[in-house]
Amino acid sequence: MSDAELVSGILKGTIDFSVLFERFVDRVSSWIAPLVKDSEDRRDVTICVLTNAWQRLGTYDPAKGSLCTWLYRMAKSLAYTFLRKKRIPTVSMDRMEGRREPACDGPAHEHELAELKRLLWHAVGELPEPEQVMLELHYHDGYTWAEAAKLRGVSVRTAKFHGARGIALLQIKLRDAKKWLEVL
Amino acid sequence: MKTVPANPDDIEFTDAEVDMFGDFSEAVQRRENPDLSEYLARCPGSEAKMRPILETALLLDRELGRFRREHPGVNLKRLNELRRNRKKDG
Repeated sequence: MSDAELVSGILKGTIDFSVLFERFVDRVSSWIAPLVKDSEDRRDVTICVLTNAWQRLGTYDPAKGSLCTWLYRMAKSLAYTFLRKKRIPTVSMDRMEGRREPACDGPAHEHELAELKRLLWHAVGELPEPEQVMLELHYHDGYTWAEAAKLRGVSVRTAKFHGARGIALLQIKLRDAKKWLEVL
Repeated sequence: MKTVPANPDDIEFTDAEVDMFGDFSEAVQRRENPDLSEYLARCPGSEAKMRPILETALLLDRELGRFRREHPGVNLKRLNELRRNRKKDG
């Protein structure tokens, strides 16, 4: 399948975006590697590039260049944006753990918010498989506990238990969700 | 007063706590803006343990829900698999 057919299929809804994701994820990562040295940061920027591409796929014009070139430019642009943001002073661990009131406006707040989100996503990604899948089914995919239980072939009580345990594990990692809620 | 244990292996819930958590999170899912205190009152003696759980559930619903709205075509499971695989690769 050519890149043009891929884009057309995604826009029509006949091809899943994950096909484009799989095709380009390694290339995007290698393009930004010289700029984003840290492997974890590089993963995050790569995912950001590809989700951004999905959002803007409708603006891609084959007459102006290949999909590869379009993605390459986007990847470089977002990598530079990421590097600019990295120059803002980092948030202290005290603040991360909610021991001080977070700032409420300005670039520092935006940076802090980005850090909080990064920590949350990282924590979700680190959960054991049963808890992670159950939380994704319920909170991301919108299934009720009964529906999620049926999909996973477990009882409703087990589904809720995995959900509660997953949340408890996140809570241990994130410490102070109440302050996060105020920031978010 | 019970609190969330620091050791993941020590996490346990009573049936009442699991039911309360399940009902609360489904009310959040239905956008009913459930009153956290009302749900906590169902399990007397568990407030210190369950309040942070429910607050984290709200946080997760807010952030994952936002992600779903902003990137409806992105497979979250695949993103997390990618994160895990890349971490293994170093």
